[in-house]
Amino acid sequence: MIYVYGFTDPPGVTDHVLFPDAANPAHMTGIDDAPLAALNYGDVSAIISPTQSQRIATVDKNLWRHEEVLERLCSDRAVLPARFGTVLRDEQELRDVIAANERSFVANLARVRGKVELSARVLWDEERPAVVEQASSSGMSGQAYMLARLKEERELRAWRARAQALVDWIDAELAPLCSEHTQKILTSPRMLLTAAYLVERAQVQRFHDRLAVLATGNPVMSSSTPDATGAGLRFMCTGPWPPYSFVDVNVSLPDRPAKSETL
Amino acid sequence: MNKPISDDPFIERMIFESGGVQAFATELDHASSALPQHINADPEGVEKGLAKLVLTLIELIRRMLEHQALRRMEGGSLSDDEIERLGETFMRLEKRMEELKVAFHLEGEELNLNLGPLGDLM
Repeated sequence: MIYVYGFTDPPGVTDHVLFPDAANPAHMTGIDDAPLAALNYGDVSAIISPTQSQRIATVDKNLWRHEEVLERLCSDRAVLPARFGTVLRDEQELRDVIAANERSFVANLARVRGKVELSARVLWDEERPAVVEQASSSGMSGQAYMLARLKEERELRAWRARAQALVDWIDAELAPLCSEHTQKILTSPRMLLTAAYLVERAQVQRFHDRLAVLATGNPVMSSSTPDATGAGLRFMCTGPWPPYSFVDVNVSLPDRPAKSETL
Repeated sequence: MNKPISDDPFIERMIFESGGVQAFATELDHASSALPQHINADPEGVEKGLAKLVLTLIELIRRMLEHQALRRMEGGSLSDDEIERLGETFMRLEKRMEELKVAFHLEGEELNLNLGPLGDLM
């Protein structure tokens, strides 16, 4: 069986770093220290290593090896990362997968070429408005209950609107530096924003600088928050990562149930 | 050559941070604890899981109805009498839900479903 790291442009010039070579015994290895190899088909190259097991353990060591191989590839070519744990039966199956998806692979390689993913999370300090106390304990009238619920609903709406305004402000600053981005607002009451940005490698430093400016304060909250340093927002940005959030590689074949959405 | 895996390769990939990494770690721990690590397949666990799912759906419907009522209240299309009756009904439903949660040993648990990329149900 073969483990698939991802699909890339045809081999680059530095492949001796990745693949076994008599002249370079210090090459990189894959999961379980298996030797890496490239399987080329048309305009796509799959980066693989042999494996004995269909199920790769989801442990730090394996996850980071998958990551490191992809990062190494990203340094000199476009890469579509495969989902961690992607194992195919044999080379023929892999060729069939590439043949079935070649056009979308090539199009998506062009989309991410020269770009990396930066991930950003932003915490805020605004408490979620409190929920009306349990009605059961008090002898509340129906009308009083509804009025309390209405008040709560309005406070929640205002709270969400403030979150949206902050996200719009962050977005307006960061979106011009990327070609695409994803965002999730309030995945938990404190997690204002979880976002991924597809950024030209050369723009990473500018992205960092822009974040540093954002973290010093914002126009939305600065008037209402006495805390001048960061005005209640905390930023964390990691990367550069392979473009995990921007590609969803389909390794299913037409005659087999789909494992994931097509690209 | 493989890079040695450092103590925390994630920290190594941190390119910007303001306000303390600990705050993020705490928040993410909190968020991941809301997700089931695995599905409990013992008979009692299944029963509890099913009860939780059913109660979650009932709670969702209750909140949707409540939302609808609040909207109509804001729109001014409900009389004081209707508001009073609706309020009493919702209060009674909420109380009944609390009793059911106790009956299924779900007291204090947040009834919610994580729908993956779609976020939370409620």
